[in-house]
Amino acid sequence: MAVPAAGRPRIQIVLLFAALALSIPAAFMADPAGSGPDPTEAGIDWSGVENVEARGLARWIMDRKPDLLIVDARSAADYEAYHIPRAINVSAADSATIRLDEGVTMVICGSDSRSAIALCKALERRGESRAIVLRGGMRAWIDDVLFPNLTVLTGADAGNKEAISRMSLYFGGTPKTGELRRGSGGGRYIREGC
Amino acid sequence: MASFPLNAAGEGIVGALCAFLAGSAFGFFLERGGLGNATKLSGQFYLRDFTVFRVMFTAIVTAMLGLFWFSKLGLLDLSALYVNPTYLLPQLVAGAIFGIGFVTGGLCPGTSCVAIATGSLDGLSLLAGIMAGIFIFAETFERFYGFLYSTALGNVTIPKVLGLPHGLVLLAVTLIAIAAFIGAGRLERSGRFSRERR
Repeated sequence: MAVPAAGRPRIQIVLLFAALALSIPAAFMADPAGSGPDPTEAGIDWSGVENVEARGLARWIMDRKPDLLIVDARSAADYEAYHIPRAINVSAADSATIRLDEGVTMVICGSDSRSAIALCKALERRGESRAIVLRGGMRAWIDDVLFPNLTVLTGADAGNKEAISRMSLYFGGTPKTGELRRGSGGGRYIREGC
Repeated sequence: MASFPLNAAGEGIVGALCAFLAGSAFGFFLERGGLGNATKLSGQFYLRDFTVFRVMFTAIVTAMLGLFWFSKLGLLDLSALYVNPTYLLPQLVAGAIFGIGFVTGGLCPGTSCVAIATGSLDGLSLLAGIMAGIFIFAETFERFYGFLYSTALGNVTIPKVLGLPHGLVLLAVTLIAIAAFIGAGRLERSGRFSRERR
């Protein structure tokens, strides 16, 4: 597209100023939600909130940890679509009915950390302070337990690929190994464990 | 505020319709931009014609601005966007292969389809080559998959690598694009690399 020597087409000038008008204010604004590795986790104050990582919870379930109660605080529709094994669905409204017996470990699972923390705080206000929040919520469960990407693990996880892979298969997930898989691959959601 | 249903756009009849509309619009604007012409495209590599550069850089800036502002306005959930993970070495090699194919044939996969739509035999022969390449790659995939998934860096983005806010990167890319457009225009007008001169 040759630019006429007599001058640039007006549309180019308009587009140039439009791009500048949109990008200059953007430079002074905060990052958009969802642009980080896990946007829902940004800025959360975890002080005073007991929490467990998704793989930690998975380990508890695999080890049949006694008196483990997993409360899924998402909507009934989300719960029906998929939920962590052994989880029960309790809406925010119904959470007032939760009364824990001695020795019970209650893990609250939301779609992300924030919703679970909100329920956890509400329970605390009623004097029930033994709730543990699933860090990262269902997003973390899906990414870290069901479909972990084994090709991008770092730190201690990098040396633990086999266990993470087994965990994924146990819960009916598929580890992303980067390896060729033959066959129908139809067992994606078939649990090998509970 | 409800955001654009990205997940629905990838599934079933709605997904197929979205793909058809996006693909048609993509092809139409490529053709209208002159990117169905192999001579014009290869002119980019000889620094004679910067149309490809302008179209691609404009698309990048438009997409960046669109994603940023639609996300800010609550119309788009950025976390639902798939970020292709980076496998550094394989992608460098793939980029080099793509570049060699592009400069040799004068068309890339998308523009070869556009060229076919306008009745170009160049495009047809390129597409035949692409299909042959896909077939050979699929049949020899097992030999390469160790390499294909090597040097994994995860979902890398420029703001994450540079540790800068998204908005600042957006402004920097826009300024670079504007400077590059001006530079490309001057180079074209100077005729330094034109066929006549050579």
